[in-house]
This record gives sequence, structure tokens and C-alpha cells, in this order.
Amino acid sequence: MGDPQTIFEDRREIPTDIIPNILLRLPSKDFVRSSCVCKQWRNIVADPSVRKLHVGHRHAATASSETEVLLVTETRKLGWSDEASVFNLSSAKALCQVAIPTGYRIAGVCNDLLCFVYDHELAPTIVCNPITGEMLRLPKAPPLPSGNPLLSHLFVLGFSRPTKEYKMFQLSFPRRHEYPRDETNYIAVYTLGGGGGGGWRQYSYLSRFHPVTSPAPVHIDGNIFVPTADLADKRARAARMLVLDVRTEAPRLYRIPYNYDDYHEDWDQMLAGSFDLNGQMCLAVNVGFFNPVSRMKTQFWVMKPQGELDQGKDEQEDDDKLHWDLRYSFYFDHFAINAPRAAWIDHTQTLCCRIGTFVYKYDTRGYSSSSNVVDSLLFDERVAVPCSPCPSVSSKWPQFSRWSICGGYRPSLLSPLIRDIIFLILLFSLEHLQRHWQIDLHLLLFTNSYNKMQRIKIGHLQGNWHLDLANDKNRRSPGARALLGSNKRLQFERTLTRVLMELDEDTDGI
Amino acid sequence: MASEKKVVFLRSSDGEAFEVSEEVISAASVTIKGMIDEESPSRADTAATTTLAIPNVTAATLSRVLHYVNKHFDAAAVVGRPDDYIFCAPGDEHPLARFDDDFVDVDNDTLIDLVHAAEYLHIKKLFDLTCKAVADKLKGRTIDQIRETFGIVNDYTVEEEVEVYRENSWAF
Repeated sequence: MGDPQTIFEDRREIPTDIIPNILLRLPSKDFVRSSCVCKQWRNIVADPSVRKLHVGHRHAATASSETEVLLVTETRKLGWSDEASVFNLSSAKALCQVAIPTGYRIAGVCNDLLCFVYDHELAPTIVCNPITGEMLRLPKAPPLPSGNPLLSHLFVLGFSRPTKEYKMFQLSFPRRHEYPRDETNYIAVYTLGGGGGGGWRQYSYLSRFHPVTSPAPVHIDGNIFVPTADLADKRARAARMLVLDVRTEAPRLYRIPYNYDDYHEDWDQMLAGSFDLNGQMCLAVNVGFFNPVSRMKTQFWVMKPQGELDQGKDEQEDDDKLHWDLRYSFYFDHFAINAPRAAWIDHTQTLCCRIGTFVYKYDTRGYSSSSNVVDSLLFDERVAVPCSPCPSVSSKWPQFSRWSICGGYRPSLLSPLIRDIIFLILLFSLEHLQRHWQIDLHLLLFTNSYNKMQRIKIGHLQGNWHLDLANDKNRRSPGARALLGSNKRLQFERTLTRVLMELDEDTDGI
Repeated sequence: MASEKKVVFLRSSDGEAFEVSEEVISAASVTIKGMIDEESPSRADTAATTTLAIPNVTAATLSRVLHYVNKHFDAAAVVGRPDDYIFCAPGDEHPLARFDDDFVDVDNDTLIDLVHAAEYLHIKKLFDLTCKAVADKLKGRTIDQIRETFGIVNDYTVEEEVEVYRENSWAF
């Protein structure tokens, strides 16, 4: 009550013990911003247990909250580890810059987490919260039963609101050109935080429709949408939508809102992209060239809310239950099949569409879906953008970078290390034993709430060991490095101190 | 056994007594339920009603709280209602949502008194509701507006303030 910060006698002070309860009900940005009010509030916001509760509240309210758009850039410079930087296009703020293993790329956004993957290999995926910079490397999926053909893989992260679980899905399917008749598809699922029994679970199912590698799968509100193509179709044109329910993990096939037969028979790929458009599943479909000056007409189909996506009777049954609305039709004057694509709606209700090195802009405010959609529009603006934000200046220092746009971001302070071991620290305690240094290796395991910690001696090294921590800088896990980064260090140390006081409560579970 | 409409009296900090059904208030307030259970043995066979002192809550606030409690916890009215209505989607509005909205549409001081009372009396629903209402008052405000609204003194030095703004710059 004698709090120095609230001394206005005509005002009720907010009781100190109640402040956390109020703050954790704020949206993420207001929550973080409130740490600027005063020192006490800052400490509350920094408290991991309050943060955790806050994440719970945000997830409960996720459906209604607006989504934001991120720009993710991956850069490689010779002699450096790859770096991903994340920029929030909706608020025009830089979020984070993290080191990622070489060759990784952004695979998608799921609410508050980014997912980085390494293409074509069974490499572990990485999950990252761009606000805190915390990263978690998921364990590698176990190999599929032996005797399997060469497989392609797709990774996508999903969130199941009823169970509040994040799940990493790995879709594996035989390479079409090598195994044109193999109908076996595999799904491996990993629940973050050790739910569902922990570790990867694998399923297989038979289907004539196999995922296509482009456009990439999209996660929207508890469903994962994967464009698939008929095995019999040599050109692998996306013809069905595979929908994975994140909660039940069941795959189902649905029709998509176009039919190749209605258009050019020799059309190679009509599906130009699939995106999260302000929280809705959106397909961009190329429907034809138009003269003069060859223009590509593209339709944007938006799926009606997933609430209507009810459970059918049979897993594999083709279904017309996805309802698609033709939202917009626009023309492009540029047609590049393999160029990276993205679409998003900015704060001025402008539909922005990226195709390779161009961003097309269409003002959607005057656009009425009830009006004659045949009366389509040409773009309002075309912006040429560099394919790389930092083009290499000299061939002596080869550099590589690319950027992608990801919609569907909902900021929260969720640690990707949900309930899991949060990070591992090797403690080196040095003892001078006569002429030798002995180094004891202790493993500290933290759980997300920081209220459990284990310290296990895992061994010791003897002899003339030289630990060059400076050289080890690049090898330390990015997550640990981010945590130990400048201003987080103090907070970390404070937490560590507190944790140490409550030690030894829990010693099982290794 | 079946006690017929037992009532208790709650005496506010400024001495005013309020009558409330024992069943209703026990369902609502963990604190009062505890008090009643403590009292029970001594009054098991007397017909006298109990008066409980609620020293931390003023009459004005207590009458509001009881208004809320009677709306939400009167068994006749609460049948078949989802418990976690606070997080109901906007579409499926809870029958009492409107009452709740009006209930917390009060000035800051009253609201904070209510938070305080809900906490003291352990009425979880009311606590959630009022905390959410205070949070809504903070939402979208600038730092200065928040300080102004709740009379909080900025205890940062200039350097510290710059630092904390920089640290959280993504949120502005």
C-alpha cells in the first residue's frame, strides 16, 4: 500500500497483486508496451509465469484477433552462419534477427511461431518466436519403415485451439516421376511440448492424390491446406485440396474451385498460390491469357470460415464441403510460373500480390464481389522490388538472400519451448586437481515455466582441456545465444538465480 | 435437513448490512463460504441468522457485488450455462453478456474497488470480468494516458525510459 508509484489520494491505486491479472488480459502489443509505464509493471511483464498465462489468454482469444503480415529474409554471407530477419509489414517494425542453420528457409507462420525447414531432407525443423528470438530445434522425424522409395517432404506447423497444442506435420510422399503408381502417403506428427505421448507419431494412408511441392501448405485456424495432384496427371497440376485437421490429424480431400477441363487443356499449373489472406484461406488461380499484351487473369478464391468444415463420414472421400467464394479477379501483365508468390491485404485494404520481383497492388475498396466479376480490373500499381534486399556487391564474397511474405501472424510471447525442456546449459565447473584441470559437466534443464530445473552431472573431462568459448560462438545454439543476448542476459540471470533457490524439486524425467 | 432459504447478513466496512441467500453467496464466494462453514457448528441448532463482517469492502461496492452475485449465481437462473463464457465467441452471446457489459461500465475507481472486492471475496467470475474491464481501459492507450488514467508515477530515469522503449520498440 505504501507503493511510491500510486500516491494520488483521489485515485484508487490498482492493488499490486492484481496488476498481473489485469495486464495478462491485454493483447500482446499492449501487454509488452505496458512495461514502459513504470518499473513495477516492467517486472510483471518480464515475469515468465505471467507471460505464460498471457499466452494462454491470447490463445483463447486467437480466433477473433487480427492477423499480421511478416516479411522474412534469409541471408547468407561467406564465413557467417545464415541469418533470418523478420520484419512486421503490418506495423512496419523489425522483429528479430536470428541465426539459422545453413540452407534453412521459412516454411510458414502459425499464429505466433515461425517454422524454418531444410528442403528435401529429413532435417530437423526449427520453430521460432520472432518477438523473443527464442528458437527450438525439433527432433528429427524417425525414418519411415524400410523399403520405402525416395520421398519428398513437406513441413507445416499447425495449432489446435481446443487442445492448445502446436503440432509439426511432416508430409512424405513418393516422388512422382520415379514412382508413378505408388499411392502411399505418410504423415508424421510431433506435438510441441511433449503432448500426445511425446515424440513423433507416424501414419500412412493411400491416396491417388499426392501433395504438390508448390504452392506450399498453409495453416489456418486449426486446419492445414495442402494442394494435391492426381497421380495419373503427369504434369502434377493441383486438383484437390488435402485438409489436415490439426486436432484429429486426419487427412481429408476436397475439391478446389476450378476445373482444368473448363480452361485450357494444356494449362500446366492453374493454381498460382495459396495464402492466408487476413485469416482466410485464399487460392490464386490463373484462368487465362488475354490479349492484347498478354495479360494473365487471376482469380482470388476465399474459403468460407472453417467452422463449416464439418466431419464427413469417410476419411478419403471426395467432398464438396469446402465453400469457395470468388472474391476478386485481377489482371497481371507478368507471368512467371516458378517465381515466389504471396498475397496479402494491407491496412489500406489494398490487395498486394507478389510475383517474383514485382508487387502488384489493387485497391479492393471499390471492389464488390456481388458486382459482375467478369468486369475485372487491371492493377493500380506495379512496384519492382529487388529479389534480394542486399544484393551482393562483389563476386569475391558470394552472398545469397531471399525474402518471403507470410500472412497469418498473431503476435504473442509464447516460448516455442512450450512445457518442453527450455534450454540446456552445460555448466563447466573447474577444479584444480593437483596438476590437472578437471571439468565437471553439468546439464541444466529448464522447463518453460522456469519453476522446474534439474541439474545433472553428466561427466567430467580431465587433462589439459582448453575451452575456447570465443571460438565456440558460432556453434552455440541460436536459441541460447538469443537468450544470452545483451539485454536479455540480466533477466536471464535473475531468473536463473530464482530458479536456483527453488532447486531440486524435480529429478526425474531424463 | 433441507434448510429453507437460509440467509446471511454481510456487514460492509462502513457498517451497512446486506441480506443475501446463503446458498447463493456460498456458490459465488469462496471466502464467504469459508466463513459460513466456520460459523456452522456454533449455529447448527439455532435459528439465528449470521452476520459476517466484510471489513475490506464498502457498502457501495458490496451492494454492486451482491447485485452481480444474485444475477449470476442464483441457482434458478444459472441452469445449463457454459462456465467459461468470458471467452465466448462474439457470435454466440451469453445471455448475461449484456448485463456484464453494463455492470463494468463504471468509472475507474468503482471498477478497481470491484476488482479488489472480487479478489477479497474470491468470486472468480467477477474477478475475471472486472480485470478484463480494466484491461479494456488500458487497451490501445499510450503510456502517458495509462499513467494518467491510473495515477501512476513514472519512476524511470530518462536513460532507463529510452532503454525500455528501445527494448520493446516492436510493440509501438
